[in-house]
Amino acid sequence: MKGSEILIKALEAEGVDTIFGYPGGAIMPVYDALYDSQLKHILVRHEQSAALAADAYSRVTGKVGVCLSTSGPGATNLVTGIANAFLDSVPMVAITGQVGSALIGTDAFQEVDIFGISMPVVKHSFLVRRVEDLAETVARAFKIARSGRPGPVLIDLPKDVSIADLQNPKFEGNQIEAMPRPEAKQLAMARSMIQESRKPLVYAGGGIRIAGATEELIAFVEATGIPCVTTLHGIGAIPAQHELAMGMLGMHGTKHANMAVQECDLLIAVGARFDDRVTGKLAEFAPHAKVVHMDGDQFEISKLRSADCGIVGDIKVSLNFLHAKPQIEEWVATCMERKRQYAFTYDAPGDTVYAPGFIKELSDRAGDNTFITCDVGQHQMWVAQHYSFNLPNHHLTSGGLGTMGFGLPAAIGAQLAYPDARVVTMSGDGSFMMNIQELATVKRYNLPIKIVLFDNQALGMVRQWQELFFEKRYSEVDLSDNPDFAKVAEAFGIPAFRVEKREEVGPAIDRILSEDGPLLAHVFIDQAANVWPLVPPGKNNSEMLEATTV
Amino acid sequence: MRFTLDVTMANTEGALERILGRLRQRSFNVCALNAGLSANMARMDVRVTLESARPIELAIKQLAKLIDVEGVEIIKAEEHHHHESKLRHPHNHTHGHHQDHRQHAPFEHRQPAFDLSPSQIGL
Ligand SMILES: Cc1ncc(C[n+]2csc(CCOP(=O)(O)OP(=O)(O)O)c2C)c(N)n1
Ligand SMILES: [Mg+2]
Repeated sequence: MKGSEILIKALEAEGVDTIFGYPGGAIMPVYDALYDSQLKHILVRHEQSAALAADAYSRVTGKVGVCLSTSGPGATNLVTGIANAFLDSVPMVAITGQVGSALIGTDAFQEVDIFGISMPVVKHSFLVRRVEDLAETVARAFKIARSGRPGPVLIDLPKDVSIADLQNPKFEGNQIEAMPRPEAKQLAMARSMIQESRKPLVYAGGGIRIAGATEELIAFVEATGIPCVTTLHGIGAIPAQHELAMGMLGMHGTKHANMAVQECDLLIAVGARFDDRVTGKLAEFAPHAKVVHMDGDQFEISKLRSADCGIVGDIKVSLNFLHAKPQIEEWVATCMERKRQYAFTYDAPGDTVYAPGFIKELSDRAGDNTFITCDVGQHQMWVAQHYSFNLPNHHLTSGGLGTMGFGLPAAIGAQLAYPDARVVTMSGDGSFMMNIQELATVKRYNLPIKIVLFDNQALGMVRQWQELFFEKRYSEVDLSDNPDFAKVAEAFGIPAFRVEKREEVGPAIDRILSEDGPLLAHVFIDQAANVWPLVPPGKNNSEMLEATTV
Repeated sequence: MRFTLDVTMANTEGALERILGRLRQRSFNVCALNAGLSANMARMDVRVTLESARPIELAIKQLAKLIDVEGVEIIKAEEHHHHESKLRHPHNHTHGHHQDHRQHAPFEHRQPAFDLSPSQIGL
């Protein structure tokens, strides 16, 4: 059996059904083997999209995403997508073709040291030197990608290895490893800390999705009656409409969430990592709180904020054990009162489209089986604030790397995983241009993805920062010469229409919800609309700027 | 503050480079380095002296996270009372030919919270 066939068989042994890639010289033997294989290969139009689509495929299915490229430029194009998976803890195996072993290190045609280039953004990497090692390397790569804190693993495959022959290769496949059980002593301590607290708060992060612990989180919140704030990646861990859900905390968090954090006496961090977007000035974050920190990754505990009680291991087991009954009526009433007082409103003046209102209406009408992907910028924060998610894997956002261009390839990955689900990507006029070529992929596979393109003729988020923190010196953020995106989409064979006035929003959403195939809505919004509230960089979370204060 | 660490690891492609890259990225300067393979070439022992304004626990955690790393141990802390903090990698086992007979406690330490400079937090 040839190395390339061994690779395909080893992927199949891991339960892989779909891979995303782009061919080229050094990976040609693998593409030749794909020709006869059952694996579904999705041809994207830029390798970055292969990695981003594989990332999204993994986020929605919980499986390991797989992407494939050739050596040299193919491999370097993958890097942003690999880094995206690394920073958002998404399990992925990226396979790159490499020049023949004898040519490695000679600056051969399309040779780059992708092993070295990718080193800081992978969990681990392999250069396969012998065909005998290939099947086992693939199995190890999958195991590493999904164990502990998940992440991407690179396999660099020299061409001579993929054409080499091997008799009777062995394929083992992997069992998914169980998370270690948390320590009883730590659990008991956490339980009594919760019992004694008077102002406790749950701070839920992306670790809930990774651990598949949404049910346990909701049960814990309901049993204890403790209000819950979420990070960007924690959104959906508790349904947005749940009475104890307080919305997102941090830089663009809700006022009531951030006030609760700053006042609580016990912060119960669950699968969250005290990221700087969340904490603002770390030394002043939750200043009165003791911290219980639960995480599957032992290295996260006390990394940035020292935990009074760290619990390593299966979050589900921990949450189930911690059903204490603290006396917190007064605190909960305060939180709920503020939640009412500071709820978002959608009555912005004017007749231009108000993006938060658009998102809210779509959310109210789209139904549960809907995946939303987004790009990076103001529109991304509006999605986080105004779309009501009921499950964490229905919100696909590039949180760690903040990769403009994530939205469309992510929608492709999600739609291929769930062909019958509704998939909507919400993008910005800047971000959309970063992977606009994937309209061809949408068309080729006839994916019924709905694209909502919020066009403020600007790199809006950068513009907002220039307005607020750089004395309105708007440097290189103008996009008033945008192309006609509807015509662009039509050129790719995708129907499209313009939405210019607020009164057109309802009919636009009708169309988005009723049309069968792909569709692009080019939505014009006011450049001056900003994201509120905002905690300025380096400030603490009680120093929020609001629309009315600037 | 200067610290000397002993790192034991599997001898795999790029192992030493991973260690050095991780230390550089997390702002630990390498002052001295000594590395050698075990007799059967399967493992590598690395002794590295580091200097940084950042807490040494950060370096230890970052190294211990690497898949190939089996153990990290502080063997010297200058301008400091000698203290031991060690961590075994959760994925790995100690290999037979280099048994360390001391007890390896699970990683459990307290460190003061440290802040990143606010001016470095950007868009
Ligand atoms: C690849 C990449 N380059 C640059 C940035 C920095 N950046 C963050 S938001 C943003 C503007 C995004 O503009 P747009 O997509 O139009 O979204 P808007 O903020 O206008 O909603 C930029 C340039 C980034 N996050 N990613
Ligand atoms: Mg824009």
